[in-house]
Amino acid sequence: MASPLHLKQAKAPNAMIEAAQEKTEDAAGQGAVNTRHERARDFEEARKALLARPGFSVRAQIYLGFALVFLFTLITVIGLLMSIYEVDHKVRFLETVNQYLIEIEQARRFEKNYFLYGTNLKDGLENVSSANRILDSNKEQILSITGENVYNQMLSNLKEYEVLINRLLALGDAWDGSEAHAKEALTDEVREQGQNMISLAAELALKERQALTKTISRARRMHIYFLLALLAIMTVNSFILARRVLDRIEQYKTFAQRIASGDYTLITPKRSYRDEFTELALAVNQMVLDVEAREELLIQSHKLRAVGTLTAGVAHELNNPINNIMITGHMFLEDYESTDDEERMDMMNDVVNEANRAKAIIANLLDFARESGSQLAPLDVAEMLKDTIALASNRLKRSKINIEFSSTDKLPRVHGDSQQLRQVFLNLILNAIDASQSGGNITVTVLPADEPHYIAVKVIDYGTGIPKHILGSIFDPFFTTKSQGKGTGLGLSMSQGIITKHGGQIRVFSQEGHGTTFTVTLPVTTFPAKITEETHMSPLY
Amino acid sequence: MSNLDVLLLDDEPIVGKRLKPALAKVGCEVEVFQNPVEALKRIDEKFFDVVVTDISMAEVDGMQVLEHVVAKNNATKVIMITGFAMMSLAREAMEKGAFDFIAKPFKPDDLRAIIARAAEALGKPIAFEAGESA
Amino acid sequence: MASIIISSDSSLTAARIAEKIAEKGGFSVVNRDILPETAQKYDVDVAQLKKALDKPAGIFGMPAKLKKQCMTYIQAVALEKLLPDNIVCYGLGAHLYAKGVSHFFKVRVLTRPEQLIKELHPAGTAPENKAEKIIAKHEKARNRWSRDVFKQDESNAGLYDLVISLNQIEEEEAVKMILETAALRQFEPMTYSINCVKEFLMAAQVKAKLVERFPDCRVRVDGENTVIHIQALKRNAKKYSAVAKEAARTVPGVKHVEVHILTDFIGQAVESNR
Ligand SMILES: Nc1ncnc2c1ncn2[C@@H]1O[C@H](COP(=O)(O)OP(=O)(O)O)[C@@H](O)[C@H]1O
Ligand SMILES: [Mg+2]
Repeated sequence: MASPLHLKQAKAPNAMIEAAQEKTEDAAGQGAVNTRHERARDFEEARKALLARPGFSVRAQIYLGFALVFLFTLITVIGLLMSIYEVDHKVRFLETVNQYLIEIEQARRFEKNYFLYGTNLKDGLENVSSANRILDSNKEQILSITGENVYNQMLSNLKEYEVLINRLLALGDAWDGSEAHAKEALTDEVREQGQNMISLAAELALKERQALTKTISRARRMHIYFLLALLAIMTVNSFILARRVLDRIEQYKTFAQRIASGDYTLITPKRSYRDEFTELALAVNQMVLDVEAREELLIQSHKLRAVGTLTAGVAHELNNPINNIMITGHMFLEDYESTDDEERMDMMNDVVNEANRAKAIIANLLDFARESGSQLAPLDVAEMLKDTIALASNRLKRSKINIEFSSTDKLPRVHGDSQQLRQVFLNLILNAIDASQSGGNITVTVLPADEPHYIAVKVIDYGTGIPKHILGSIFDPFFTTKSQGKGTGLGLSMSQGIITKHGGQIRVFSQEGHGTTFTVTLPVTTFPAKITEETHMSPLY
Repeated sequence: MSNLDVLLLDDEPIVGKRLKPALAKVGCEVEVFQNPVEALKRIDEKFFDVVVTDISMAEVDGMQVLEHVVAKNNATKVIMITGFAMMSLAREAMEKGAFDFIAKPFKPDDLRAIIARAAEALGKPIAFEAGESA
Repeated sequence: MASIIISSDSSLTAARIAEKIAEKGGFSVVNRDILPETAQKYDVDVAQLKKALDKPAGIFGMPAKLKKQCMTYIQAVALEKLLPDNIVCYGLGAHLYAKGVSHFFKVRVLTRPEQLIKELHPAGTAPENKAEKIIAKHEKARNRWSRDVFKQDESNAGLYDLVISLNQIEEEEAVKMILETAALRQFEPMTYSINCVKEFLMAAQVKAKLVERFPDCRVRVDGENTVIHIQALKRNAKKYSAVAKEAARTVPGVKHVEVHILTDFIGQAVESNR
């Protein structure tokens, strides 16, 4: 099972022994400082890793999106402008062709009149020359659309027509003889030529009109496609952007929840780039570090207070062995002459035993009070509970509370920090004492939990119980119903933090007026045997 | 000079073991108990001039012993010895009629001095001069 | 018999009540008459001792360090005078340092407001409607004074065994009540409580030797052991502990001396966090 602990891991048995020795050599506090340094290093590493990635900020993404839309719009606008220009061009060309046609048709009308009534063909020439002028003045335009060939064709057609008409005019009014015959032929030629010219121009106009319609419909389609594409681009971009931002916010929400539950793992890079959230990550890491340092102080101060309530008891408890030593020592001095060796031996044995007893009382307390660097080890929970109960025994005695301890045989060990766990158990027991009346009972049991690979520690009291309306708040920091100087309101919140760090849970069941049961579940260590031996070698245990 | 009858009650065995000869040397007839219930039984049977009792004991505590003794015979001088000395306890003991109250750890002479004063007050002085060793 | 320690919001009232108690109950009085002796013993001005007893420390008042010194000297001498029982003591702030002794019967006497105002403004210059304000201000100043050195409010009723307001009770009646209560068995002196006074006394005497050099030192005497706490940086620890030991040994009766150097826990945490 992956341990959620970020506490200092004992990497090798040797390292652990070294650490422990270092601890006994130097004053308490060393361990905590070490961990703090280690955390500072972790923090530095996380910072470097976070900053080492190439940057791609949200701002850059927003700018990029805008630039993309702008570029796309620009291209489309240019396309539209071009097709408008094209349409304009074509329309103007059509106009020119139209004028040309009008002139030609007018000329042909004169031509027809001339054939019918022999009227002024000369006027037709005028139309021809103005058609010529139209072609001439719009040469560029026509050339650009029809190409040189068609233009020249038109021009030459016109010339031919003009030549033919002039020839016709030269023939004059003669309507008979060979002349009439020639005239007849010429007339047909003129008519044909005129016909040709018209059909060419009309064909041209038709073609261009079709092209125009095509251009217009293309432009219309372009509008629609452009709109759709723009919509798509903007949707995709804002989707990506929103997901990016929202994902991060979601991520930080989980960070916040995680931190609130006491898991102080630093944020490490998850994506391949760096952005504004990287700054936030750095700030959060810094905050985690600060919160952690402060929590350490708080835990220490709460612990000192717990020690305070205990030391009062322990100091008194110490008075008994010291009194025994004092009395025995004085009597030894007083009666030295008159006592025999056996008696003297007995007295000195008593002194030594009582001194050891005093030492054991103090060692237990000091062990608990020592400012702790975290030390992880496989732990025998039943032993820890016995130690803790011994620590509280004076409080129990003074409050005339009877404590019962039971444990299932051969429970697997749990992997954790013995000081911290003992602190949790002590908190629960002290709370139970506070809730119980004089003469009450407290039951402490350790047994396999319902879930496999977990063990459960139950601290049961038959005291006041916890009213429903405050049940939700008891794990909050600084929530206490005890008078000032008695309760800190940190016991349970701290305990919860410690148990969460150990991958366990702490649950409460309470009935007002009937009592309370606190249940702590802890995951058991998966590879007990080997490390167990090493632990016994360490001077700490 | 008649002997002074003393009952010494403390759940610490060494206290009785060492103080019994210490008090005997100054002319006290000492009976030692570790169990308060047995001590109470004995008190019911016999009059003691002085009862020396520890306060914090399981089952019955020293205050209850004090109350019992005072209720039975006001003449008995009760001396409280405790590792738990504090003002409230001291006042409670005095209010309930204790003769004196002494904190553990103490020297045998401290207790002897107190017993000597008690004996004085009872009109049965013993062979101990207060301040002998101080 | 118990010893009675009188505290009051008015020093004149405390004095009157104490004198009456002494007269009626056959108690001996311990009051500011011990100041000349104190001044001589510890080589300070009587005026300074008086000021330390009356005024809070501050920028315009007495330097906090000097006040601590003066109070320690007073404490050492006053406790010596309190060693025998049957004492009535007032005007020396004893209610703040003679704590946890079961045969010290501590009484707080509250003066009538109009009388207190008359005392605070002798010439009748007190503005009529500001009485409450004046009294509140006075009380605040007194609390500031007691917090200076002893870190507690003098007006906190929890400090006392008995609080009597003279508002509805005549002084004679009050004295009678005090004497009756002081005669209760629970205020009887006993070996334990007398030892407590002895230990307090020795602690104060040791502290008096140290206070000039270590104004924040704490001294506790427990049986034959004298335990001294001094705040210092780690590097000075050895030197200071030798100095303190030496000074403490000059007090008669001191046998074993233990010096603990308190390194500033918070400061250290801050430092190592840098
Ligand atoms: N065994 C219990 N029985 C009744 N109430 C309890 C028990 N344990 C805890 N509580 C309630 O929870 C509150 C918070 O407990 P805790 O965090 O340990 O702080 P503290 O003990 O300093 O008040 C207590 O003040 C009390 O009201
Ligand atoms: Mg608690």
